[in-house]
Amino acid sequence: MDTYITAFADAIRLLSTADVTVWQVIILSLMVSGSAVGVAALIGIPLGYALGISRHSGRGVIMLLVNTAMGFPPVVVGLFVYMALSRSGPLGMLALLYTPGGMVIAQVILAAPLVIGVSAAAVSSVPRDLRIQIRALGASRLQESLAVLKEARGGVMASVVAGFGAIISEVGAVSIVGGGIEGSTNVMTTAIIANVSRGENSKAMAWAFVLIGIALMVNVVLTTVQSTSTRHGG
Amino acid sequence: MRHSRSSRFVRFAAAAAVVALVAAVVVPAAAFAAVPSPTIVLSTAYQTTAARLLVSGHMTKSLAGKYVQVQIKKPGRTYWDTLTQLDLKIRASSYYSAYYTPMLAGTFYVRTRYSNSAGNAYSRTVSFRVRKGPSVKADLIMQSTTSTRDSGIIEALIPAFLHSCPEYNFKGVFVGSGTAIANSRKGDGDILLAHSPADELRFMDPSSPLVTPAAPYVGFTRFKVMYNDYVLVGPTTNPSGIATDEPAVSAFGKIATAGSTFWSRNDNSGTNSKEKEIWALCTPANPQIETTSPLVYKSWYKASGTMGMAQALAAANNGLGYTLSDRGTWLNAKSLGMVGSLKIVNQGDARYFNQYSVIEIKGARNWQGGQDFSRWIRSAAAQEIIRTYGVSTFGQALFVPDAGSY
Repeated sequence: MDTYITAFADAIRLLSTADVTVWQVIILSLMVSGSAVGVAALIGIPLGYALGISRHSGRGVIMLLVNTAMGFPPVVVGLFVYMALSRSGPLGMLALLYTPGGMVIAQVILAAPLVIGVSAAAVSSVPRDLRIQIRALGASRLQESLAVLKEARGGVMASVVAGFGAIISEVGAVSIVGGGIEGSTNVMTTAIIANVSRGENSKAMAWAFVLIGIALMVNVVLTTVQSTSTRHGG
Repeated sequence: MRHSRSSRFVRFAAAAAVVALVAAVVVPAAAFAAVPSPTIVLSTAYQTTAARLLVSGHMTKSLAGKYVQVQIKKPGRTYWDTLTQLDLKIRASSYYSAYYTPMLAGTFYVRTRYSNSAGNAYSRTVSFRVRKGPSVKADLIMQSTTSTRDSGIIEALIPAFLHSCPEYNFKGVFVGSGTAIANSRKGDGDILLAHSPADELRFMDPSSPLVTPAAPYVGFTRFKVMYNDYVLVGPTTNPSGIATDEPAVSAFGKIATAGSTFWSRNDNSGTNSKEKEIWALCTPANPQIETTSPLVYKSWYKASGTMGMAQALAAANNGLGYTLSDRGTWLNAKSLGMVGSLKIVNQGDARYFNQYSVIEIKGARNWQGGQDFSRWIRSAAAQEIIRTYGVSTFGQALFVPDAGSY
């Protein structure tokens, strides 16, 4: 029990006294995962909308592929991105290996299927009558899509939040692509592993607290969003 | 008459000898003196640190068949760096050019070095000034082994390196030596710091079967940096009854006979290679292996594959087993209180010698940074840091500096 107690106490002290090394890692984590989920949302929401309203016969197959992609182990995605970004790989000239940019790419690939899949589910649950009604009132395609997205906003927001939750807590992709380099590509998850392997549990515990806190916030937001949307009959 | 003819002949012979002597000296010197200087295109006036300058030149036909290298002296440095990793062979009327990003502010000096069998000749030195501008740094990726990180030596060295060479953004990737070499083969490293001599020599060999189109990079230069030794650590109870001063091979043999738990990193690191080397010398050879194909280890031999040195020590501490460790990581782990149930059971054998080398990579993206790091870590300042590292914290130096050639 002593190990836990000392680790807890040290962790709280590190977080509250704004220890530079600890907070640098936290901020890098938030920046990498934040940018990744932003790009994933930019790509994923339009694609999710298109998939959601489509009545094409191939829709089922595409949904299957998206759902499979959602289940890719992060370390597998990391392996593929690493081989592509390696200097002897096809995208080697971009010099993105061991940089936060490369990590963002890997995390976008992880988050996008989640955003697409959940948005598509949310959009397809919007009644078709609503779309017909809006078009009948003279809306353009863009206005129609914005109205549908507004109606499905609960599910769409949930997709983005779920994507963020998934990528901030994953370690396989960022550690292979980023290398866990202290000072430039060390995010919370890779830093926990590095510190545990060095025997410094207090810093690892500090980051563990932050990750648990983020997971908690993600779930609070998801539940609030879900209850709001059901209350408004969405 | 005879006297005047012979004296005229003597005078003529003397004059011819003098002319021949002077010609022998002057003509080659004239050829050398004709080495054209490089030109800096895109303005020789003030540029900023983020500018991209073109350094080019034209070598004349008479100098053909030899080698040329453009040398550059950066502000604050006392030595000349080169603009290309390899000397350029001159064909008739060759042009050469290279883009260069200054990254530092100050006065740069550039000259051409012409090399032939007689030696080197230098052109006139050209200079250009760079004004302080937007901060531009080149990523310098060092592939190294976990023991350099876990012993803390790299953390001690890097601030001094960045003070000497501030134009680099140092990124250390710490994996096992074998992985570091594999990554370097794929070009994902600019400089390699390893301690696995057999693997390193294979990496230096361009005709090795490991050089493939997917992994085309090879080592360029290899120098000694520092050494320390390995120690065999085990439980304080020492169930296999190993004596501290017995030969390494017999110590390992005792572990195999007694079937005591042994933790192996199994990651092709320098430590793992050394351990496999000693196992191979036991009688019978390789007592830790049950069957070779498929490769199955005996139950007392714990081969993980994902553990760094510090983690392997923690595992041995937890599971009360033996493991081979480098002294630096062992002392660091001991000071952190991670290895309370372990002690050094065997040390001092010549086989435990652990040499660290720095290897430049041919064709690396930032080969200039690699060259700077290789030169710096062998310099007196860095070697002094290595010599004194650990004395205040652990009571003994963790490494012995031994910079030099092989």
